[in-house]
Amino acid sequence: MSDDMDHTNKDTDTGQWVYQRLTGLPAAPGLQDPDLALNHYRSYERKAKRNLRMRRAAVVALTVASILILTVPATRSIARQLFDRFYMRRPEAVRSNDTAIGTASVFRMEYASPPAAARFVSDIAEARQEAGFDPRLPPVLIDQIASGLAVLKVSAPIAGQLRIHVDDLIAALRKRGIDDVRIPRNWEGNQIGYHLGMGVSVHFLGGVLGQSPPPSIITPPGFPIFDFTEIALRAAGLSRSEAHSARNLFVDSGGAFAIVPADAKSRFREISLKASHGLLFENDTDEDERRKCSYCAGPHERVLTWAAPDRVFQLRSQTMTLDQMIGLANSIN
Amino acid sequence: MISRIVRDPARAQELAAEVFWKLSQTPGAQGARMSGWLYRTASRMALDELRKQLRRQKYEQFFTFGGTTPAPEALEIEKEEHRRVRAVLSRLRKAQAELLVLWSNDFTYEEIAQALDFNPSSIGTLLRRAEEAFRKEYVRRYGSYE
Repeated sequence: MSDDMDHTNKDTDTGQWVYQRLTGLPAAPGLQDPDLALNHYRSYERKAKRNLRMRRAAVVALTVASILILTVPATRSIARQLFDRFYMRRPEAVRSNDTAIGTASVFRMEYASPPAAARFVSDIAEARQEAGFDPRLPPVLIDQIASGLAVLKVSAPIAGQLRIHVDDLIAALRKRGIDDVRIPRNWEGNQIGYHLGMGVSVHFLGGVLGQSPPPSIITPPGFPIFDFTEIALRAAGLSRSEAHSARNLFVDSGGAFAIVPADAKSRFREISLKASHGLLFENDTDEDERRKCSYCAGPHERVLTWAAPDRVFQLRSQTMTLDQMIGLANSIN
Repeated sequence: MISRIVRDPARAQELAAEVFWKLSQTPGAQGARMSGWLYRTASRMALDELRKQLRRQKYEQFFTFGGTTPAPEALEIEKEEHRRVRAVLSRLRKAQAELLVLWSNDFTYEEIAQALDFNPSSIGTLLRRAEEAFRKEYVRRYGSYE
C-alpha cells in the first residue's frame, strides 16, 4: 500500500497491541506470492470467457431450434407442448364429509425421487447460497442464529407427477354412485405436475419457521384443471356442492388448498396478518394429524401458513401463543 | 490477506479465486475503485469463512462423541495465540473486523474509507472503537491482554 499510511492508532498502547496481534497472523505458506493470485485471476478470467462463449453458443442453438420448431409443421405441435403453471397465491382449506379423502387414489402423486431430508447449514449466507434465494427472517431469529440458539436447514426441492387414467376416474365415480359426469377421453395420460423449490427453515426453541418460493402446479397447455379438480374431488368423496366450492378455492388459492378429512380434529380459520392473509390450524389433541392434510398440525401444535408474492411461509409451534406467532410472522420484512 | 485470516491454505486459495471471479462478474466494481472493492470483498469473505469454520467446529463438538484428535502438524500450524486472535476477530461486529483487517494490512485511513465506504474523517474514531472492542473481547475470553 502507499507509503504515507497513518500510524496514529498504532501508537496508542491498545492500538499497538492489537496491531501486533493481527500482523502476527501468518499467511499460509506459498500464498504470499502475488503471482499466485494473478494466476488464479487469469484462470478464472479464462473460465469466464469460456462460459461466455458457451452461453453465446447456447443462445444461437436455442434460436435456431425455436425457428425450426415454429416453421416446420411437424414440430409446430411440439411447440404447443409447453405448460400452464399455477402458483400458490394464498393457503385455503375445505373440510370434507369423507374420512379417506387424503388417501384417495385419484390424488396419488408419483415423486421423481423420494423427498430428501433437510440438511444443516452453518449460517444465513450458506442457506442463501444453497437455496438460491435470500431467506426473509424476523430480526429475533437472525440474532438467535448468530448466537447459536437457532439452527438453519435447507431442504431439497420436491417434484411430483399425477397421471390421469380416465377409466380409473370413471370407476371411482361409479363406486360413489355418480353417473352424471362425462370425462373427456383425451384426458387419458395427461400429467399434472407439482413443484416445490428449495426451502429454508429455522429451528428455534419455540418452533420451526419454514419458507420457500411458492409451489406450483403444472398442467399441459389449455388443460381444464378446474374441471378436473371438481371431478376428481367428487370421485374422492366430496359432494357436488363441496366439490364445486373446492374448485373455486383452487382458483383463489392458485392450487394450494387443503382438503381436511372429516375425522381430522384440527380446527382451522383465517388469520389477518400485516401483509397478507394466513391460515391457522390448531390441534389440541395428542394425535399427530400432519399426514391428514397439507397444513394439518401435529399433537398440541399450531400451524400458521401464509404467502407473499414471492414466498410461502409456515410457522409451527407447540409452545408459542397465537399472539406470539402472529407477532413473529408480522416482524418478517 | 485472506490467507492470514483463514487458516486453511486450500480454502484461502479458493476464496481468493472466488473474489477475482466475483470481480469479473461485477462490472460496477471494475475501474478506479477496483482496488478498494477487491480488498473489501476479500476481507468480508475471509471473515465470513472464519465465522463459518468456528460455528462448524462448535456443531461438530456437539455431534461428535469424544471429539477428534488434531494431527501434530495441524497443531503446529494453529498456534494458540493465532487461534485466539482469529476467534476474537470472528466475534467482533463485521464492520469492526473488516476495519481491523484492512488497517493491519497497512492501509491508509483514506484507503480504508474508500474500501468500506466510510467518511475518511471518521476512520480514526471507528478504528479506536474497533481496537477497544477487540481488546475487550480478548480479555473477556482469555482474561488478560499482556
